[in-house]
Amino acid sequence: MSAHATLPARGPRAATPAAVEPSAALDAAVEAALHDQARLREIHDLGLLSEEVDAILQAEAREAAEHFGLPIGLVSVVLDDTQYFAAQHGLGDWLAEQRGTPVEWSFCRFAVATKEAFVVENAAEHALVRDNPLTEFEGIRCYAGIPMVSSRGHALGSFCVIGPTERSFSADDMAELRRRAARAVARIEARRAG
Amino acid sequence: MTAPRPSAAAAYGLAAPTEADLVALLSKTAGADAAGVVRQARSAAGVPPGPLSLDALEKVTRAVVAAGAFPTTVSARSFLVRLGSFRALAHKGAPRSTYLSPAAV
Repeated sequence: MSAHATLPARGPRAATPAAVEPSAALDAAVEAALHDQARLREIHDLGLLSEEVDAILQAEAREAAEHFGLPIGLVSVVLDDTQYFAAQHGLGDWLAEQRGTPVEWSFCRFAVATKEAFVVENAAEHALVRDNPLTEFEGIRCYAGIPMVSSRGHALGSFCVIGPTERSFSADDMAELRRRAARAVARIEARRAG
Repeated sequence: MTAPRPSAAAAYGLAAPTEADLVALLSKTAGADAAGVVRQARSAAGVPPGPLSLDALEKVTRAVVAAGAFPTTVSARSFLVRLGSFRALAHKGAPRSTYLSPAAV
């Protein structure tokens, strides 16, 4: 049985994400996705780990944060043991300096594993992330992330917005975030063409 | 005495990287010489023998990076990101059990 089999079945056009809850199936899906060698190879081949920040992705991250009135926008590339911020707006302190965290602290890994939007309205009360160090010590409260899936079907990371206070995301919000994530993916795919 | 709050990182099955982790990573390319590479890096970083704090381990790791001894640039960055994340928690006053390896708590 596929590790994805017991995850919520959602079509690509679903407007709002299903709640993602802790489960053995989710754990298995996360592990499988993180260590998917074809996915990791695609990340490498697309040059997403270069030190050079992509100015266009950077603008997408900033504009997404501004659109949603949230302080942080991110293009997070999810590797097997860390997440790497290919572009970011609004991160401060050590997160901006390091441009990454251990993958176990990554909210984005859930979007990568399920290939579905991952939304947290209040991280302090969300079963998957309430004990996350980024919730406890960095004050993350709301998060909405869209998986960035390449044309070859690999989930590279997540395009997300983050804030320090509880908030909900409407179907229109998610549609807008999907549009922005699609633009980011197109930009990433252009690296392949270039 | 109040029982300490369970460590967030422990709940996530995490522990801060250690010198042993660094040696294990380097052994992928340096083989049995990995421990020697780390010893040389300690010397280059001016870190005396003995248990390493997270700050000292970062100095040693950067010396290893400077020596070009990591298997890949990605592995070097990933190690530094993981190390730096725990250092950040430590500097933010997170409980010791959150950011120290189990052996060091």
